[in-house]
Amino acid sequence: MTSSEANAGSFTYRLTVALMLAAVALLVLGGCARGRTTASQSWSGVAVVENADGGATAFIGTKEGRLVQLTLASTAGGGQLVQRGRAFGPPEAEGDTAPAFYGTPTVASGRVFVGGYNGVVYSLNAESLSDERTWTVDGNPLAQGIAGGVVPVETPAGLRLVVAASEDSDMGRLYVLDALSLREHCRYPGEGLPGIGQMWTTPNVVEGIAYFGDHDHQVHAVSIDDCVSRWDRPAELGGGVAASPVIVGNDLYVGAFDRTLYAIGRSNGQPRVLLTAESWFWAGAATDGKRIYAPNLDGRLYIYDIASGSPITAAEFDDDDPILSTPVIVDGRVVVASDSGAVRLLDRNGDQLHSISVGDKVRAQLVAVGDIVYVHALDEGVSAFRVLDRFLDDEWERDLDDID
Amino acid sequence: MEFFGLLWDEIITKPMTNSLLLLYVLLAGNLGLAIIAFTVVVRGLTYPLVVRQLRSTRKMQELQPLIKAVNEKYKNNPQERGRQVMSLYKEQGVNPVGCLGPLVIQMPIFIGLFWAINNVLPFTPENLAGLSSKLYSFLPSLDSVVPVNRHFLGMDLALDPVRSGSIIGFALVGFSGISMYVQQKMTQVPSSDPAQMSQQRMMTLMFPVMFGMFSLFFPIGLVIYWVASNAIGIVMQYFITGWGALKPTTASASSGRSRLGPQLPGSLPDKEQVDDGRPEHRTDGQDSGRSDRASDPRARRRPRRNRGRRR
Repeated sequence: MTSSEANAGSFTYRLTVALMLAAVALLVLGGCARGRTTASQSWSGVAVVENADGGATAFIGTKEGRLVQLTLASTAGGGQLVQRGRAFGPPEAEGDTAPAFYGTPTVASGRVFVGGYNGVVYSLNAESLSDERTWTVDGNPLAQGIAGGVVPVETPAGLRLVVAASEDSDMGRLYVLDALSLREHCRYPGEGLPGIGQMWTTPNVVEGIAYFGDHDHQVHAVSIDDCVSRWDRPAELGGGVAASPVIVGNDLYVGAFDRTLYAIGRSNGQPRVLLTAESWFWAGAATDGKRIYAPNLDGRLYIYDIASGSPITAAEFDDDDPILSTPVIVDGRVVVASDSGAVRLLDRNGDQLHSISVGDKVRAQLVAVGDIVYVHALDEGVSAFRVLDRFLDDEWERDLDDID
Repeated sequence: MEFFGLLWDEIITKPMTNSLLLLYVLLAGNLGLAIIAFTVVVRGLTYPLVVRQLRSTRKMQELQPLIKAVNEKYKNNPQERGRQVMSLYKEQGVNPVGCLGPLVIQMPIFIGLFWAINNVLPFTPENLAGLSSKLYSFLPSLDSVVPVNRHFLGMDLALDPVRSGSIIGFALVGFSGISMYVQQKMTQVPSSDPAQMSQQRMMTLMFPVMFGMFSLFFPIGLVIYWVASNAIGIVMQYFITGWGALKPTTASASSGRSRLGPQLPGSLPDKEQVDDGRPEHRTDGQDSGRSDRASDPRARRRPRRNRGRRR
């Protein structure tokens, strides 16, 4: 081998090594960059209440652990946003202990309630965002406490709050609290008993019974009067449940991580398989009383006809981004948002009528008041859309980061 | 960068995440055991690379005194110095970047392992939702086991040892530092240069301490992986290079230099003598740069076919 051949061979070798190093470095960088996108986020829906003066107030939980109050000119009327906002940051909001709000705030009896992922239920004066009261499980903050909403329920004994909280990654309980004092009324399972699975759900309370699922593949029906199960045994599904069940007639409908949408008898807790999707059912379904609209992480919206007892279609979209946001029904049309940031208006058969992008992932449940749909995206943008016949009309938008 | 992120997901993260969950199913839903088994499997698959890397590193380290001597001899003639160093590498059959290749190939595997464990230990709803996109649709049974049971030996594997407050968690942090120290010590070849020795000693202590401190703030599941990975690494290294500097031999301790001895090119041991495509059996107690196993009585119990073959 001549010297020039040796040099050429050496150059090729070095080039190969350099290219290999560069390829691996790019791959690793890509992988690392991808990993960073899993930074902690949270997604609170928008709670809107009408005021006596005809205006309205919206409450939204933010990623920084703040509760933001927006004053609106009206809910379903002009939709004009009064350019005023206030933010309440709980004491824990400083540093890395800021509570993440995954559940939508609720308002009742002049108080606004929201549950934090730190396991704290916050109760504040809805007008002034002052007079803070808090509740934690047995007085302890929790690592993964509340990832659903706090449900206020009027009972003969007064206003109660129903909340699903997890003591750790394996164990959760349902708690019923007195709304004003935040004292515990009862819990399921009771004190001294082992808990059920971890819960990241908002219970659905109908006629004094709370229906909710857990990560141990079970769905429960518990009376909020005495925290006693109304079924002989919980409904056993094939996968974990994060969605809130919806109730139509004598059945509740809920999807699970085993890609299956179930109907469960309200009286006996017997589950039936309705359809199977290609990924998990994460968000709760919407219903118009005749059909179930169940979003899936495979990016489709599955439509099931209750009367005929058969699936109608799986509405597919241009992008196949996961749907983690619970859709809403407005005047017989469905509004659904996905991780692509697209907010879509569909007819009752799942055909797309119109689509608007809000720029970032939408994972918070959509909230409709009248013909206005409120959307909270992960970039902290809040938008209001009016549902017209075949269009979504952009009413206003606001960046919550701009509110001090 | 998005393209490389997708590529990363498809060829590294997804296969590893699904494999880890499969092991979780096979091991009766015990995530701690699944992580340990997964680490054993991955380290086993990368064993040939590790062997090459360790041998190459060892050879390079052992040549350092010779290279130093060459550098000193030809310090005023850089061209000749380079030629002599290359000639030394050639004579010894050492590739100067030989240890780099296996190391580079292992890097994405270990980072992927890190992410796979992170993926199956979702601490927040968004982490769990993200896991759904990493599972293969042709393995529907995996959907039914998430979220996994994260408890092992009374610890929540998704929590860091500080938040967990578990004594076993803190013990694991200690083990991760100690095992790293042992592994580093085994790789080292004592230097004749006091300054280099002091630097070596500092690095050998500093890295495990830093690593232990980092471990305090990573999920315990990852700390288990590190401890298991280090333990396997120690075993591998023992069979390839012996205890190394952890148990200094009289010769190396007294001379404080490589067992090859500082010989300049030309007076070095004949390459054929140490690398004839068959296992070497040196009788002079010197290391061939390949392994200590020749002098280890246990080594003779195992067939040595195909070992030491050079391409």
